[in-house]
Amino acid sequence: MKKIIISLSLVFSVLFVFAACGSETANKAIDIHAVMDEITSSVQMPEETMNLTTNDDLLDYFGVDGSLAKDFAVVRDANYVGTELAIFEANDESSAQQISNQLNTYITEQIETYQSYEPDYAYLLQNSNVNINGVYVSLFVSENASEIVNIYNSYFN
Amino acid sequence: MKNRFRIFALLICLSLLLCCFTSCSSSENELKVSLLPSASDSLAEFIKFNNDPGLTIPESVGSAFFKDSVFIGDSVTLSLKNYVTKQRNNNFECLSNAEFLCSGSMSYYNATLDPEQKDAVHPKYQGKTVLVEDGVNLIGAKKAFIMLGMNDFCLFPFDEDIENAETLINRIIEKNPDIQIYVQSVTPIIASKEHNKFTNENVDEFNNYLSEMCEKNGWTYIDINQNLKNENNCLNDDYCSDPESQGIHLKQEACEIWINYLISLF
Repeated sequence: MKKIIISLSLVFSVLFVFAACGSETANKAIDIHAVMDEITSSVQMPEETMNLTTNDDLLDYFGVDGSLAKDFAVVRDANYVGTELAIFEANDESSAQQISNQLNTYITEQIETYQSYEPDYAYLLQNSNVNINGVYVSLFVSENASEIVNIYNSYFN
Repeated sequence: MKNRFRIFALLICLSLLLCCFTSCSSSENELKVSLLPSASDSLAEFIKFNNDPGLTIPESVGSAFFKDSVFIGDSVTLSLKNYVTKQRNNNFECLSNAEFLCSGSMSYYNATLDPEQKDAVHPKYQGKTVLVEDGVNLIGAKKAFIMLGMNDFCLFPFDEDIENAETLINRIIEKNPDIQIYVQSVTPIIASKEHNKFTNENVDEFNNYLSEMCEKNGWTYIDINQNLKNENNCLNDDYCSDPESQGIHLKQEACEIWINYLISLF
């Protein structure tokens, strides 16, 4: 009987360890500013860019509620419309989902506004997508979106 | 033998538990690093964090005139908004606390349409679509600097455009009786993008209509084009951020000229 109890304890301990490791992989902590720095230094960016740094900026430009995020790194074309790169570290997974929903609404509305007026930008928006990885949410609107996604994903591998 | 097995099993359990707690605590440490003051903190918090009483925001001479102002416009004004946001995010005071109500393709005509109507274009304020007059009211603006018309002057006869402009501005005044109105000129086009009615000659003529409208109604007209044009009466190519597409949008350098000109007037 004792042997069975000890063996079961062993099995549960191993399972517990693997479960903990698994959840850590899904919520792997990354430095979003380091990721953004690598992206902007590796990929061709517009001639003039700007960072959005306040919650008011987030609401104003993307319709995203900044209180849902612990931190964010956002770089966009400063001249007009075009490149828009955004990485959010949400408060939790539920907040990440809300940020994702707000970004998807933003994309839909921007496409509607710019489809006939600025088709090149609308095309970039149509080919962008919002990704959630644990508490991290990303949006990359760029001619080099696939290259950017590869850099971003490498931080989670 | 039995005892040895028990001890061995207990040791493995303990090691695995220890290993688990170590990995969890290392994850917490990583998280703490990202909780340090970040870009999302306000300037005041940033100054407090750095404990630097000498760190102040530089003041622009004349900028105080723009306190409680709102800039209303289309995609051209969007470039100005980007410039101002960038300056403020770099801790430079710019146009005081002026706010923006702008939307790509907005015109005197489509801004007066009911939001449900096809072709209606309205700006957003704090993430919500608003009528221009309501947005001005929510902001509590005392001065409105309007630059619309780029998306009007090719569509209808100028007389009709001016009627639409007066309709929009009167709605703003009705909802905000103390507001002062400043109408800015429509900006020029680069030479290579002029076509059909979309010419600098028509821009100038439309601006004459805007100027007359302002004179008639007691509003202030501001011609901001003089520093943006070249000797051929076109937008200086060096100031254009989209010479391959529309040929009308302004680079940050041109926005700086625009702002400096506005400041010089007041």
